Amino acid sequence: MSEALSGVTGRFRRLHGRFTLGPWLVGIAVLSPFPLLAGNLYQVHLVNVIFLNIMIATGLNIVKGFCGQVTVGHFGLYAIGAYSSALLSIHLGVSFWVALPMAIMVTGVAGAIVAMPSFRLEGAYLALATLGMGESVRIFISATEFLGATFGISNIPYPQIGDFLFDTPARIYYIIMPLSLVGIFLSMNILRSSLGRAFKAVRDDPISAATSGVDVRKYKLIAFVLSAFYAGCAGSLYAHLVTYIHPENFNILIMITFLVMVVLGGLGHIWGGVIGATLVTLIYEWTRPYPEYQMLMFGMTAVLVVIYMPKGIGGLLDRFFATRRFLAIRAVRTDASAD
Amino acid sequence: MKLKTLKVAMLATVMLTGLSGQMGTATADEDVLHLGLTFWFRGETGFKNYKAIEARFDEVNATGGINGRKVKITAYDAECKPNVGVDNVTKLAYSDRVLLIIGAGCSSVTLPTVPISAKAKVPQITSMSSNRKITEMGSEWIFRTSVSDRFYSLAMGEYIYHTLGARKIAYIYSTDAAANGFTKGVIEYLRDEYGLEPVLDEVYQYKSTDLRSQLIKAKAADPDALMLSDQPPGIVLGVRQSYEVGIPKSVTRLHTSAAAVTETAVLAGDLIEGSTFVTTFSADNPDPKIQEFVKWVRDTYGETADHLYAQGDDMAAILISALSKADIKNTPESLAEDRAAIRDALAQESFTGVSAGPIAFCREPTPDCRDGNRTVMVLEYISGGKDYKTRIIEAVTVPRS
Repeated sequence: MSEALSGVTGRFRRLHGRFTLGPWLVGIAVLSPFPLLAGNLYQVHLVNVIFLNIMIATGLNIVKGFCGQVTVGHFGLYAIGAYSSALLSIHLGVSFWVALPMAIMVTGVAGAIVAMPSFRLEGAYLALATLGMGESVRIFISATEFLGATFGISNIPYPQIGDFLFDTPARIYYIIMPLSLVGIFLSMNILRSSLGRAFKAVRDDPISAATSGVDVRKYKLIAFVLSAFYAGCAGSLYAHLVTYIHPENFNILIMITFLVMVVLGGLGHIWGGVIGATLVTLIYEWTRPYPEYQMLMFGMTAVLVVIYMPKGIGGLLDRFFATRRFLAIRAVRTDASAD
Repeated sequence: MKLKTLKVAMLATVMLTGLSGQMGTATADEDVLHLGLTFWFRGETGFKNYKAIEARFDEVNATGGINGRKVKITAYDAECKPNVGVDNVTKLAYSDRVLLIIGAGCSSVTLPTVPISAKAKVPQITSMSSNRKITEMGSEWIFRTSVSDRFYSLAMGEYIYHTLGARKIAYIYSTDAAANGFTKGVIEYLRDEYGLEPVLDEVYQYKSTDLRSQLIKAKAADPDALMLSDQPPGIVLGVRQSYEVGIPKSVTRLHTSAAAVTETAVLAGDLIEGSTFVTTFSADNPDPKIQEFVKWVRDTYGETADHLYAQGDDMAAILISALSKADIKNTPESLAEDRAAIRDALAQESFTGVSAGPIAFCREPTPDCRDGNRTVMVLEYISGGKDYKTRIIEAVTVPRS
């Protein structure tokens, strides 16, 4: 694994030339005034939830969209991130700023364990194995006194710098939003790097990839670990945002929601995943006043989108931009031939 | 670069368009008292509670409202999920800007919402959550009309030791928070007060469908009483399978307040006969006020009233009383002041409704003041089915310390 991770580090060094952080810093600056402009704190809370979902969808896209591994156990990793951070903060008194990276690392290790079945299993079998692992995490938590069992863990401390507490949605926004954007930035660079190309090779045809010298196991492992980092980060942030976690926060239904985000956005399409996460959160929000019909409306929207946009919103965007480009080229050629 | 900019712009548009749907806040209609509610509507508990509350407020609205103002309730489904409950309460407090929040139902949802209502300084009242920690958090904005599990555990413990005279008790309970908290409370109470250790202490995963292995162990332990704690379907399953494995009827089956839900008696049929449970309402109480309520529930919903309807009805009555006494200006500028006035009015409420015993609050943000209902009934099923019958064994009122 250390060899694999050192490979990743090496590749990240080469990423510098692909996407620079500059535009993203501008993006962070542009989004920064939002809490001041928002009509109320709930809107900021909602945007925080959107950014957390974007983070998870982006991570899930790495393993599922880029690398083609069918995982249904991501909710277990999300739980591990949240519980690790909460326990470190409560029992060891560790600051959020230390608990966050530690939770990410712990979840990364868990991600490596979840990756192991992928060495031998594919498709529905892998889905079943990862689902079992995710459910095991939830059941283990709900049966373990130390982890709060079915009562959950409360009084998780807010992030703090000196005397300044990030104790409102508006304040914690300044942690969640930049981290989420950095997550997208890293994901885009991964997709464009040789690492991303190796993932795609594994996804499209693992046998061909192996015969071309791609170490399939290694790249599957890396995909799972990277994806787990995102889940761990989102889990930790969620725990410190809400300050109370419960095993029911991390069940199969939330996994389905994550999958809908990625599929709706378009598998392997980063912006699609971002839009998918945003839309799913907002659809859920819009249907909140109609509790009797909420799940029906939510499900219908997802089904209709999948039927009429099988490649998701990302696919639709790709087609739109490709058509625009084609029309532009044709217009230039027509002009040239006319001259 | 242009393409990237366009994509970023599209994303921003999607987000802003979406948020624009959230920009609208509660109407600043001074003639409407705007309350918020979050329950689990697809569960029987939330549905019945909500129906009872809604019916009370419909009645008030039909007769001119409270001090001439109609009451509007904005309701969101919490799905018994803590994260959804947190979103709902945050939305009700900051976006809908309600005067008061009712809920949540499941304790696991109410727990994380207490700090939110405290921070937003909006009164919150729950009519279903039983977890003792809810009022132990020190929030001056939380009120509870349902019975805390500490009272349920105490009443059941006393019943087991003194009235039933049981000394060998087997406990089989699910990981469901309410069942788990109640059963552990009883075990601790009997251990601390009377030195009684369980002859069997078995926990199973909530929604398990086969409890035979645990029940066979219980049979081998030869208990005087068998506690089966879960939500209604789990209790029914446990009772049915306990007879299947041969645990005799002479072993008293004991249950949580979930056994008081009508569905338990309907699903279990005559097998429920002899089962004993704690609750806060009995439809077989001959008190004319209660019989009138039972008739109303039967005429309106076609079923026997249980503690879920009773708790909803009582809480609505308390709210109506408090809202009528509070000095509410009901303008956007006076929201904080109005919320504080409602909190203070609630803190002075003392009410006797259809639940057993009075429900009374006081000012201090302590469990002693904010656990309003301190009376527990121990009931026994005489018969099951749709027209089930119960017998009141005893009622215990825990005095304020």
